Amino acid sequence: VWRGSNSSLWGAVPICRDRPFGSLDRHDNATICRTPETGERTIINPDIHRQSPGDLDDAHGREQAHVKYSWMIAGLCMLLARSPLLAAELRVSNAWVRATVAGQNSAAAYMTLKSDEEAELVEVTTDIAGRASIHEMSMRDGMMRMRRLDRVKLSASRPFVLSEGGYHIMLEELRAPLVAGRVVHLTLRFLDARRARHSIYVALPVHAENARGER
Amino acid sequence: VQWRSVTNVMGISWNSLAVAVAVLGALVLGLVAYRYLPGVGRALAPSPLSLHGTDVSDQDLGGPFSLAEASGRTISLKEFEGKAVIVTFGYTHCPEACPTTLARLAKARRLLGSEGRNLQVLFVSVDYKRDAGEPFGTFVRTFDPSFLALRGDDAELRPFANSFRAQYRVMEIEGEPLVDHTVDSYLIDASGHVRVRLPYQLSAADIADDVRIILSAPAYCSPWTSFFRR
Repeated sequence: VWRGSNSSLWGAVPICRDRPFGSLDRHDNATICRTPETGERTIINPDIHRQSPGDLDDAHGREQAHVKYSWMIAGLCMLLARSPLLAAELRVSNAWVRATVAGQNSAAAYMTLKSDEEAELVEVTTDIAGRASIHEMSMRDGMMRMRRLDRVKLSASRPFVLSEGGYHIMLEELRAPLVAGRVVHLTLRFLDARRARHSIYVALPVHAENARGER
Repeated sequence: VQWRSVTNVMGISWNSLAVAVAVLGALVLGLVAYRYLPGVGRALAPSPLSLHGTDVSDQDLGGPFSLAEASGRTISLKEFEGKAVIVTFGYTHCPEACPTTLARLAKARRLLGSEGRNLQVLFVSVDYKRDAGEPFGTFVRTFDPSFLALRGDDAELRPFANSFRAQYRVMEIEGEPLVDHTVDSYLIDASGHVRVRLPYQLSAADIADDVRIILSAPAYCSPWTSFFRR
């Protein structure tokens, strides 16, 4: 049972969308996102998180005769980065959901997930629909095939793209029609490499048209 | 000596067999020349239509059918004699392919202008359980008020889909139905013959072109009929 993200910074801090929509704002250089557990707003300075553990490793290796104060800080940061306290970042970008047509009570959501370290998307929950599941659609020989995935593995630093003609999050039994221009929210639950659970609150704008700009 | 006795057993003399083969050969050669030699067969051979979709005129797809409309009224292909008909398969819970197809078909009908009146789109549900009543009809009519939403249970739909060589399958996993189906559409000419398979990728403009071509093309005759047609 997932109890909240206080035990790890990964869930509570740096996870936010690239592009701000709806309730997400840009404030100077920091991205603000709401954490679902507490409803509080966390301010993140992206500059801090741009410093990846890899860069710090380099710095640590080069540090030899003249150990400057700054290098020591870098080393300290590296140790922190290795510890479960300051884990990698997971980004959700290009998120959107397709507007429903009259008579429809389901919709597909699309986004790009990128994690600095291996992670696993295990669950999607939302208030707007009775059911949210990860689907894989494939088109072969004029046939459209739909599969349900229980979980999705994210490779380190390799973006996992949910887009038209491929993966999507299927929202069924929608409580209200999705109107273009509005913003809806999903909670994505992940397992990190240490099998710790994290959740990310994602805001998705509702778009009426598809990728080809039709309708 | 040996072969003579063999042919005698069958009651056919070698000479008459040779004559028969020669006559048949001449007939075949004559027909081939009549059909294919320039100036002889050109007037008869139907020129291939420059379609964006696939010409399936000779595949004997479709056939007369009747299915229930979302409101319960029975619709049969006969009602649309004189019109081009597009049959497409899908379902309301379809996240992407079906709304895209319907949007394209609606756009194609608009692109046809006044000729659009001669196009009837039939959206056939492959999800009998969930696509019922008003919401289903509303969903289809949202794209174009002229579009008709048809449905049938497996016993009705299976032979119908098979007649187009279309496929569908509904799997239920933990109460969640997952639907696989053919996303190509089928264009039927004014006399009820399936002429073109429209692949999913075709744009609205390409679909409109094909509808225009089929509306103005002569009625399809099987190669055997057109072979002798003058």
